Amino acid sequence: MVSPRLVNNCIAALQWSASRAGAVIVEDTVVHIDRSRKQLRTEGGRSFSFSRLVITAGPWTNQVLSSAGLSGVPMIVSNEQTVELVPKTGAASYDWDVFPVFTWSEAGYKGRGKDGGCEYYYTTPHVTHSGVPSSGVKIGFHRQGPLLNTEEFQVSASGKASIDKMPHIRKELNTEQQFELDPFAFSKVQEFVQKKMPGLNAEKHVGYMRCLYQCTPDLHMILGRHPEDPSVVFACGFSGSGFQFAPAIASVLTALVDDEVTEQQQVFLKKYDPGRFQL
Amino acid sequence: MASTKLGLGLGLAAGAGWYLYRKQQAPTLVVGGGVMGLSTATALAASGRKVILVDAAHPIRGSWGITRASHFRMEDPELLQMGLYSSRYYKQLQEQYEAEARRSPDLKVEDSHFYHCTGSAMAGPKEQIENIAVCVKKELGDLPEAQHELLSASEVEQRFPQLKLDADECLIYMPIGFTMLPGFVVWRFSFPHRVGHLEHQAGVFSWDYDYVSECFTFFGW
Repeated sequence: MVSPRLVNNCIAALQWSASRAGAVIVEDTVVHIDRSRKQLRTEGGRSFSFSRLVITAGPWTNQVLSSAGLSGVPMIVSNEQTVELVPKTGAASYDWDVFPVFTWSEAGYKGRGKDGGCEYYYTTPHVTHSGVPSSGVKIGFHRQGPLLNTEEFQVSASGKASIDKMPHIRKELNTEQQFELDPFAFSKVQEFVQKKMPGLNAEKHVGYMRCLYQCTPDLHMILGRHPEDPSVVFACGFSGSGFQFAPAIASVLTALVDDEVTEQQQVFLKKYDPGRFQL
Repeated sequence: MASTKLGLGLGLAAGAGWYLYRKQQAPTLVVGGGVMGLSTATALAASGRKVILVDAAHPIRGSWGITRASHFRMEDPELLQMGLYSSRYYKQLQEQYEAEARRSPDLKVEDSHFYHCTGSAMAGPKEQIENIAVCVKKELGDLPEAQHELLSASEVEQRFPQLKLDADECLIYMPIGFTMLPGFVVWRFSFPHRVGHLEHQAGVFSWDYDYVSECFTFFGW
């Protein structure tokens, strides 16, 4: 039984929104996409005919593209980590009613430092809203998780060729996803907190979480038609900044499906075109 | 006059026919049901297309966590415009969802809140932060979302005692910025269960389109 307290979220609202609009949601894994017959087959044995295909599979994008017989994009999934820290006794509050979303970066939002990397830390305040299991301030060492190359999170040939362009300090490819605490990322967060957020207790975390980023060599998303089959539209490679742009990205994908792209959307498509990379 | 009415009627009928044709043709398939897939499925369905979204429901999600940030402190004009569109969309969605929660006995109004204005701040080398302020002003002009203040290191210590910057750093503070609550895996797929009164079997379920349509009708959607 799911606690009704867990209703409190954006994804639930989006699910409600999609369902209300008339979308049918099927829980199953895609195993094969036949683009010529326009049929999709799932692990559960179901088959769906389609008129148009949209791929929004996040870190699984290259796997799904492969199942459709299409080349993957130069996107490498990284195994990121956030930790939660609490204030020291007597320190000012970091609760979300007094403290904003806070980021520190050596080179702006999408910039690079002199060495081609970017030291970037992001935080969200301690959430005090009823039912939300926030234990403290969430802090991450942005775009610095170990890079993955697994069966699920496939690195294409073009991805392997662009590893040096990733901002990550650790550039080796790992064949297994890790769920334990990443000591390197935690130590960097500790150093940052001691300098910039000294009211927090950096000695001990009260929680940590691993999640996945979809990193591209230029840190920009991939949005548009697949160069090998323009009937397939897709979006991925958000490089740690996709969630907040999702409705706008959805509007562009829909415009592509409907062949009704606006002038402004053309500007977005020009910048984020998959064809800017050699696949 | 009569021919005008006839022409209008035929035009409306043709339009309705075209709409129904598009609704009935082979569906658009969306592969992946995270925030991108759900947003896209919503937009496609709203445009009149029949949509099926397939999601593998991996036990370990791609992007997950308790919070996400939504803000306007960035240099790229494209991202600023996308952020503006999306922020206003999320605010509207929250209002709609809250309204639904007020009507539904299954939802609690306080639990429908996911887009919370906390303000947003970014610090770093002075020239980098000043550049962001210039880009925001250039792209978003006088819109409320573009409001910002540039604070020196000493001003930051007065305003935000939680922070400490070096003397050659500064901070951009924007009062319109949000902490988002993206949610939990289980709830995401439990919602249609509860709405449609579907049985949950061995962690896998699917929707019967006709049955769900009846449910929507029942709930007045």
